Amino acid sequence: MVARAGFTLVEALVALVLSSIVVVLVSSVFLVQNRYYATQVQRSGAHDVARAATEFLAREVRSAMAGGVTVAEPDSLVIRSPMVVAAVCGTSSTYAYVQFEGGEAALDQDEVAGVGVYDAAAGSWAFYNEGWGSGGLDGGTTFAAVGCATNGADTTGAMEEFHRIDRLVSLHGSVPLPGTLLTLFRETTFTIRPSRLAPGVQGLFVGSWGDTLVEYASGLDTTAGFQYLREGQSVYEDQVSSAQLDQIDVIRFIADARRPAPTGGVADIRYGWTVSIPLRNAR
Amino acid sequence: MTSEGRRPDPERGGFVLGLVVLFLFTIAMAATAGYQVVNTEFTLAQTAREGQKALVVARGGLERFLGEQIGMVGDSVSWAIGDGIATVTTRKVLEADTLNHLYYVRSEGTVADLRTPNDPARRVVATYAWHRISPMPDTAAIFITDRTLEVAEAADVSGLDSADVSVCPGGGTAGIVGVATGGAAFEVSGGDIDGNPTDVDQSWTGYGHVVQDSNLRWDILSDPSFPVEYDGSAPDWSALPADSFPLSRHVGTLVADGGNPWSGGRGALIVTGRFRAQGTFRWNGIILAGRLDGNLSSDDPEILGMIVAGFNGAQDDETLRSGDFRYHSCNVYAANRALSHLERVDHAVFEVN
Repeated sequence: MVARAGFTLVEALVALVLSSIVVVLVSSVFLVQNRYYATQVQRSGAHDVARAATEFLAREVRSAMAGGVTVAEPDSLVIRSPMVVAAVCGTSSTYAYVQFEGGEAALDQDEVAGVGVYDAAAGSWAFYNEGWGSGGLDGGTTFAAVGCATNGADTTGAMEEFHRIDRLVSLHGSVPLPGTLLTLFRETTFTIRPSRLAPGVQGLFVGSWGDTLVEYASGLDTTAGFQYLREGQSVYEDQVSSAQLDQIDVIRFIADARRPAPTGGVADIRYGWTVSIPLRNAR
Repeated sequence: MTSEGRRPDPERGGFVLGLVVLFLFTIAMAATAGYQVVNTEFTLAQTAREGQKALVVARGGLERFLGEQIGMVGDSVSWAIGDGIATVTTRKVLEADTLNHLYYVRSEGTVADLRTPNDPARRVVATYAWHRISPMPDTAAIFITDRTLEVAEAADVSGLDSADVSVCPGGGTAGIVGVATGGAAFEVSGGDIDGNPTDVDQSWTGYGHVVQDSNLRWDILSDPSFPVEYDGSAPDWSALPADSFPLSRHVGTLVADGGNPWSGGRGALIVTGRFRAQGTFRWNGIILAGRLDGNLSSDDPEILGMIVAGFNGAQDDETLRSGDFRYHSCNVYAANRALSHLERVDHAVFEVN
């Protein structure tokens, strides 16, 4: 007699029940895992938004000079931050030779919003907004290097660090004396407003002087914003009047982030993140 | 049913095992994706944190260099700071005059990451600083912060220049004040104070005023951990060129009587505690002291240069009864160079990258 292979009905039923239990268990694990994963993705996204926004902003703000904050409101901040700081190492009646690190290649002149001239005695900067374009620095560094070397500059291996600036008379009224510090700055606007990319949340919009604002980070909460600590004060303020801008010592960026709840979740993912940035160069 | 019927049949395939394997595979995929997200997040956070560390290291290097630099400005120096290394380099960009040079000072901070040893986090900060080659003004032959100084008996203090052009090109000056003090100074019992435009200048309004106008960083100079060329013992003068005016330091009280290691010499001598010139002590240059003590009429010290004392804020009323304390513009000029330092341009530290 040939042995018959196969299941009996009871075996099939038992197998069906067992496999159903296994499927339910595994599915549950999978769904929990999937929900956890989705939550982590959202949380990670919230972290990314907060971190990216703060790092970029902090870097711009940290180097801002005295007088470098031009707008300080709860949802809007405009600062002048140095792209380069240069020292005048030679002059003529119409232009100045300057030295700054990195040379022309390191400076995106299209981003330059103007020039600042430092008054060491007063400890203050005079800023002049001027679309710089590509003609602010001359291309011939040799003359600048030679001019500065005449005044004692060490130009060895660094001729590309020396440049000529032509516009100082028209902007500043005179050519600064040798030893004066200049800055070529960009003027950056940070604004928090409803996101165009993600409905229901705020976005951080960033724009250079004269350019349209672009959405730099999406997913900020409605509680996100800027606060300011003025010299001698102990309480942060939501905004500072134009007459008191040069008193700002610290800018606080509240980068609260919010992401929609993942499928099956009941609450939005929120991530509170605040950074206080001292303006070290301001005072 | 026989026992043969229960044996596993290689032709039979169970679907439960396959299902479990499928789900395990799915879970593994989800876990892998989740790990990737977390790992990416961790890496980004780590990179950001190390970038911040590198910035702190760079700033620390810059501050340390500007705070500790004294004498000639070197081209490059490196320090281990925290988890990283700060490398500070300088470039002279202007000689405004013979005594004031402008330097570009950059500090590069790097923090190594074990996972990417060839690509450490790197940040650069920079600023400009003036090298004050002769930082201390020629104020008086003896310049003390407060209290009363009596010049008595055989003591002679003079701000008139005892150097002429035959000694150095800048010699033969009109001279300076004899004694400048935030307290009072006067001659008694045969002591003599001379100076130009006046013998005694008591217009200093206090310790802080005097310290600030001496233009020196006493807290750094007197810190035993701050390195100077000769610390605790006198140089071997015979081994030094005659035009060498080094920076030396004695920590604590120094009774210079001509017989101890500090029997005499030249340059800038820092005495962190009390200083007393007696015996046959001879010095050409500048002496900076936490406090100046008086001496006896039997002594015969000679200091050709300047004494600046009272930095410890503990100057007492004192009487000099012997010795010559004469301004010497050439010695002061040479010793002053040993005290040269960098003075940062305020509000101008910026991040290069």
